[in-house]
Amino acid sequence: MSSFLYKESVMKNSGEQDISKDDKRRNLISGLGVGAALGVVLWSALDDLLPFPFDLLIGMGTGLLVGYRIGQRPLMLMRYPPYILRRMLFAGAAFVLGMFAYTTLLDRDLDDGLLMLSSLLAIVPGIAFLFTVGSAIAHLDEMQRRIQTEAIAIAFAGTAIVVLVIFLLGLAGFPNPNWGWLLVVMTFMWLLGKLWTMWRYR
Amino acid sequence: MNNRLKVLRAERDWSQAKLAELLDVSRQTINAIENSKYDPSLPLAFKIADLFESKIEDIFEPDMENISRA
Repeated sequence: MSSFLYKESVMKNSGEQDISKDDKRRNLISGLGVGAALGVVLWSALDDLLPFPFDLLIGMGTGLLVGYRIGQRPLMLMRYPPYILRRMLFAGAAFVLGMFAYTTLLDRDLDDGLLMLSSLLAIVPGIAFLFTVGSAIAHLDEMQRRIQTEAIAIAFAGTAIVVLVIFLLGLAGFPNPNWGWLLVVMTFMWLLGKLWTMWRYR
Repeated sequence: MNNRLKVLRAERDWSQAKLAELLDVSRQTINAIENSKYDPSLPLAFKIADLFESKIEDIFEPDMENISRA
C-alpha cells in the first residue's frame, strides 16, 4: 500500500478531519481571553461612551464567536494548525494591549528611562507576534508560501515608496505624519499584495 | 507547463479537496496546478507521480509554445 493510500485509510477510520473537542474548547477559551483584552481597548477607544462592562461583553462575545467559528471548520480546510492560530491571536492581543498600556503611560509624568523601558510593553509582544506569523507561514504549502512571499515583497516596495513620498514632501516643508501609521500602510499593502497574487494563482 | 492532473483525478473520482488532502497541500494549490497557473516544485511533482503511480513526464509536459518564445 502506498503512503498516500495508507494516509487515506487512516483518515477514513479515525475521522480526524474534524478539530478535536480539546482544540474546540481551547479555541473558545482563547477567543474569550483575547476578546476580553480587545474589550478593554474598545472601552478606551470609545472614550467612556459605553460603560466598561458593556465593552467587555462586546469584546468577549466577539472573541467567543470567532473561537466557535474556527472550531467549526473542517481540519483539512484550515491553513494553519489550531494551536498556531491561537498563538497568533494571543500575541496579537498582547501587542494591542501593550500599545494601549504604553500610550496610557505616556500621559503620566514618568521619567525618560522608565518611558523607554515601558516601550518594551508593545515591542516584546510585537516580536512574539512576528515569530508566530513566521511559524504560520512555515506551515503553509508551497504555493501559499509563494503567495505570502510575493505579498510581503509588494508590501515592502509599496511602503518604501510611501516613505520616500513622505520624505520628499517633508523636504518641501510639509509636516511629518505620525510614523506609527506606517504599520497600518504596510498591513494594507500586504493585504493588497495578497489579494493580487491570490487572483493571479486562482 | 501542461498537465493531466484533472484527467487522472477524474479517473479516480476524487474531488480537488480529496487530492489536496492526500498530497498535504491546499485545494487552491491543486486548482492552480490543474489550471496551469502554478508549476509544482520537483518534490511535489514526485509526490503526485507517486500517488498516481506514473512517471513525472507522463503527468507533466512542457509548454513548447512558451519555451520557444523564451
